Amino acid sequence: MGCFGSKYGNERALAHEEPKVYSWDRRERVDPKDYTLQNLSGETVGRLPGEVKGQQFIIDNCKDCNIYIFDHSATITVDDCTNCRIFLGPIQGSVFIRDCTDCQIALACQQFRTRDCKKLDIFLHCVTQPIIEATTAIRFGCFQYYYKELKDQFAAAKLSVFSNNWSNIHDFTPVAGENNWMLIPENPAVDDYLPRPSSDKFMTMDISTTIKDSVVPITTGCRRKLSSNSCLVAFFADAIASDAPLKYVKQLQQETNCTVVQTKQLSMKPEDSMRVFYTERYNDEVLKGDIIGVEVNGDNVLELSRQLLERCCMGNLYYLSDSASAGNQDIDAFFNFNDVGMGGL
Amino acid sequence: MKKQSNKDLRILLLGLDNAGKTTILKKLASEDINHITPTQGFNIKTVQSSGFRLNVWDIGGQRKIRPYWRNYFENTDVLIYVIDSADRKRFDETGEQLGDLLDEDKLAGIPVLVFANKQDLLSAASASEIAENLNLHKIRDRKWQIQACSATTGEGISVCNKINPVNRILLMSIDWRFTSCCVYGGKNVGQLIIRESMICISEYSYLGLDLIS
Ligand SMILES: Nc1nc2c(ncn2[C@@H]2O[C@H](COP(=O)(O)OP(=O)(O)OP(=O)(O)O)[C@@H](O)[C@H]2O)c(=O)[nH]1
Ligand SMILES: [Mg+2]
Repeated sequence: MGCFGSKYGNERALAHEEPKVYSWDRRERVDPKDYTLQNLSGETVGRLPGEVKGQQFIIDNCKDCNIYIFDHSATITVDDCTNCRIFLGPIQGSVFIRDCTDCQIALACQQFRTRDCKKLDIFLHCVTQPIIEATTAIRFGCFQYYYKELKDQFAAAKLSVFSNNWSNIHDFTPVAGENNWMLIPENPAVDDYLPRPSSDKFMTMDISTTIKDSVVPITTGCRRKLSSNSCLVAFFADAIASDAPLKYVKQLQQETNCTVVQTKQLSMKPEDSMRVFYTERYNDEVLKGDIIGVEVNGDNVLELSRQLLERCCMGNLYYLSDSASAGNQDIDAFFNFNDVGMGGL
Repeated sequence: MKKQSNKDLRILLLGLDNAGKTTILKKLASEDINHITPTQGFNIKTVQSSGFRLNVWDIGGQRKIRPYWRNYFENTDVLIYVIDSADRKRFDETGEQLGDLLDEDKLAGIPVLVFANKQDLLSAASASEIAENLNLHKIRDRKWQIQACSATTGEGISVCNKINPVNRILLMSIDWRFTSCCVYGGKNVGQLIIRESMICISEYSYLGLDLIS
């Protein structure tokens, strides 16, 4: 049924409307139970790649469990869980964590929301600004995980591994003089927080939790910067098609002392490109597809980046800040250029 | 009446956090819906629909900021209340919030369109189930409609067919202005009725509907 309502009104005017069939009236019925983990205690459970296939998933009232959803989903709610370790593969919409205590969770999503929680450790990939409400003692780190199918699951959930705001938290209920949220100490051993699944069901999973293998490039976010030198690197369509951004980031992390502060994938119009890069040089490039921007930091970051970029981009166009002093201005222009205006209450 | 123009309508979009209000707003305006941040304040957009200018106010639904909703009640023509049909855990909470809104003096008599959003999700309750749950059938003091929709697929909210839900609620709103004019018109009521009827007829015809058939 589509639409109905109060009986008085414009019956006559609306009478000749055709009945409409929506996609949800036609779709194949699935059993919600197959997409729910509820009232469990002390178990290791979950789903393998291909078992959720972009559907909604529900986790409710679990205690002392290890839960692994190794697939992409539409949206996930996690309610009333205590002392659980949880992995959630790429979530196309929002994840909502409510009334949970003492959980360690790794997840990737478009929107991250919590309410009435305490003592959570979250390894997060989130495309938009994560928000918390009535939540205390929550700590955040960058999502750091690998298994064979994960990269394609990000694509299926329409999430870019480069658009990550894991440390840019908005707290709706700040408490004066206290920090409701903090950062997980740097270079964490993810396995210590979220052990790999031990049960037979997951035996075939080939998991890595190293920085080197992570599908999401590890960023330092709002952690303290090591150097006063930062610069912006931007990749355009052709370089992105040849996987240059990931190669550059990984090589920078493995071969130098520089850090990657933040990354973002977005689309630009030529006029935006002029505003950010002060040149017409990239106008044609931005019409071909998305741009990936990377903020990198380190004493020698410009020189080191120049060498790496020659190697990674193989002749494809890229942007690199002219000087370390121009870096901060570039970074600001790129990462804030499309922040939409919005009213305060 | 107090409006600047009869083609300008103020629409208030409310509902719990995560219901899909901003996604609906962006979809109505044909904008990208994959990078929407939870709303910390409000968004306002003007959407054209069948010759009307809909000024849609989308206010954040987080529990902490719901007390601010009342700051936006004034001069509202239509209330659109959005529900996440797949969040069964919060049906009670959303029902209470809607009940509170319907009790507000400043929203008395204002038509309400309930969007039963996220119908694409597997655990979504149907519009009739939600109407039952929320006791919508008990509403006697205003026009109301419930519409199943999915902001992500665009179904149920799209503005391209003639009698889409927004136009439907516009009709209700115009009708309401007409009725309230009859009731509150005072001593010039005769003249007012005539003038307002003319406006109503011209507005109905704007929607491609034939009122005097
Ligand atoms: N599957 C599905 N997801 C939806 C639908 N509508 C919205 N969403 C998702 O639900 C989440 C919340 O949407 P928003 O539009 O931010 O919700 P809101 O009501 O504006 O929330 P607040 O700003 O916090 O009040 C996002 O991840 C959306 O992508 C829908 O119809 N189907
Ligand atoms: Mg919103």
